[in-house]
Amino acid sequence: MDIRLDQVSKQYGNSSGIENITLSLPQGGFTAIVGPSGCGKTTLLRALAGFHDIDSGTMRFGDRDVTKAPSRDRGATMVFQNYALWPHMSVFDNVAYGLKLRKMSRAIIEQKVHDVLTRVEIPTHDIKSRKPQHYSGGQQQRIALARALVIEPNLLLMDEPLSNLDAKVRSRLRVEIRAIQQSFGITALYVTHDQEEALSMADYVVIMKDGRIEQVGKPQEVYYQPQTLFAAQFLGESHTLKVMKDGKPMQLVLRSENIRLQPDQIPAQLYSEYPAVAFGDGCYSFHAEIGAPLFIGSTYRYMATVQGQTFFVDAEQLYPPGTYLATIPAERAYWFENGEKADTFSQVI
Amino acid sequence: MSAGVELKQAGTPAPGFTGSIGRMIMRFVIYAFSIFLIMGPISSLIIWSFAEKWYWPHTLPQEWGMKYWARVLEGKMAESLSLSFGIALLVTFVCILLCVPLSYLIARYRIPAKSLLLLIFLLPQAFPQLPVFTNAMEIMYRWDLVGTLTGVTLIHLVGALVFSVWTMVSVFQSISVSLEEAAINLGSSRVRTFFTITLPIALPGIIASSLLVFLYSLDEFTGSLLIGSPFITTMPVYMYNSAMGYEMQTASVTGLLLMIPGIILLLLMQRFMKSEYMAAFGRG
Repeated sequence: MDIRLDQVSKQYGNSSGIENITLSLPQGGFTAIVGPSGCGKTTLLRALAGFHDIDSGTMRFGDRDVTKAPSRDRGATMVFQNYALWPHMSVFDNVAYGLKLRKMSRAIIEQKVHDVLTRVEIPTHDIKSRKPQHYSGGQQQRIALARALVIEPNLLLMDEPLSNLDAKVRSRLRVEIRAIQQSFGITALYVTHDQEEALSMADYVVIMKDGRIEQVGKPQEVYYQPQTLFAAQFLGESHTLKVMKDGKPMQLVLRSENIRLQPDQIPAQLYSEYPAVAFGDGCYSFHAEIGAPLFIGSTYRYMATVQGQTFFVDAEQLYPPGTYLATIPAERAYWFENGEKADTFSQVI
Repeated sequence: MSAGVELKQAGTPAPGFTGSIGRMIMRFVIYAFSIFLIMGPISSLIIWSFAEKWYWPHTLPQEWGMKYWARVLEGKMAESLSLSFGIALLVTFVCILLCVPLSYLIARYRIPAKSLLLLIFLLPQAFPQLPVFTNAMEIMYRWDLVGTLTGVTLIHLVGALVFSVWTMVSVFQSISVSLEEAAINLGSSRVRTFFTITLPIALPGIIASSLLVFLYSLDEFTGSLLIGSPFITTMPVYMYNSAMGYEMQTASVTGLLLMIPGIILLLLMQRFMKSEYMAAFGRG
């Protein structure tokens, strides 16, 4: 079932409201909303769950207008950051809760609970005697996922479900949640502040800032073709330089992994205020001072300085400090003029 | 490498040894001090309760016996005891009935002047008890409630509600809202969610708070004396009356008997009590 939001707004006293959100979640798709804290992503998720009313706009689940529907009628189940498993019930009762509300027969409930727990890889032999708090964090989140999935919801909502887990479990569960979502073929909306999570799990990534959508697209699209300054700055290890291009002051967003260094004896060509950027061979290049290398695992990270502005360069090679020619492929350099996207290819200054 | 291990082994016992002796002394001092504090006053009660004759300057009674225990147990005391328990049960029951919904509302919903409301509950405790109760007595005279069971129950409720609301609000606040939201978006109604999710999770806290209320009501003295006399004689009042008659023995026996339910209930409470519920007392 397609989920459509049209001009949805919700104002709060504080800043975490949402404004005029228009978004559609395709059937069976995994959509991730990513953005800094306070960007309204959780507000949007909770509005879809029906936990609070919206000020204006409409929300449709398929043909049905659910804008005014209470949470319990929507069939949009939520997976919470803190798992929200009920400590006084066994794992079986936790998962069976939604089924019991639907007045299903005992045998069918047993069957469904066992099936769903098997699919999320929770051993089912002792689920009637064990309480959820006796499981590890990763297992608890899988139980919570089973509880949300077992009633075959229209929409699965996940509110930073992995952020309470440690890094190893988190990266494993990313793959697992994605696989479970695909095997159920369920429409999912996933909120996270972790861009890696969003990019790696989702079919579609929504970047939000200050209650508005900045960009929507496939992970590769939003990563490689950012349409707004914020989208460019938010994703990847990005740095913004104020530079002079075609005689105009512009912002150049570049990502550490795209910058190549070439030793160069010629001192940086200095402009009065901004560094100069040259274009040639499909690359932009400029002179930068490279500092001491930091070993960060697979690569070295260099603090680079150009006209008092700093950025990081990631390179596998070890370079001694000094002046270098930094080059970026033109398609990986993102230009903005006063915050608006600007044409990338251009002549030498 | 083996040398290193040996060195380490040789090095460790010395500081550990002195440390454990120091800790043992500390512990002994603390135990001795607390036993002195707790058992000191009680020991005189125990001695008095078995003393049939004890005159100055004797350190211990001249004659021992069970006379006063027998007298207390067969006399009006049993009546007072059951009355006290009855009132305490009634107060606890009314308190749960009033405080569970009220505390839930205070904990969950934005109520205008929430802190003011909680402060009002605290007011009777903020002032010295005697003036509060004498004023209450004046009102109760007007309504013909002095010397009645209703009057005593009401005056107990004044204090009990404070304990109850403050503890239960913190119990409900300690339950994450997402636990309720999870039930609601699975299709449960608000009422059903309250009874199947919130209430069971809050139950240990509610029990602990009710035990406190029960004990408070059982031991309440000032209000019971002012409002209850002369017809309603609860255990503490009974004890006071016998002590006023310089019957130290009767007072001691009653005192010891009154301690029993308290000890039992406190032991029970420890089972249910979690540290977060105790936090309510810090704030209360």
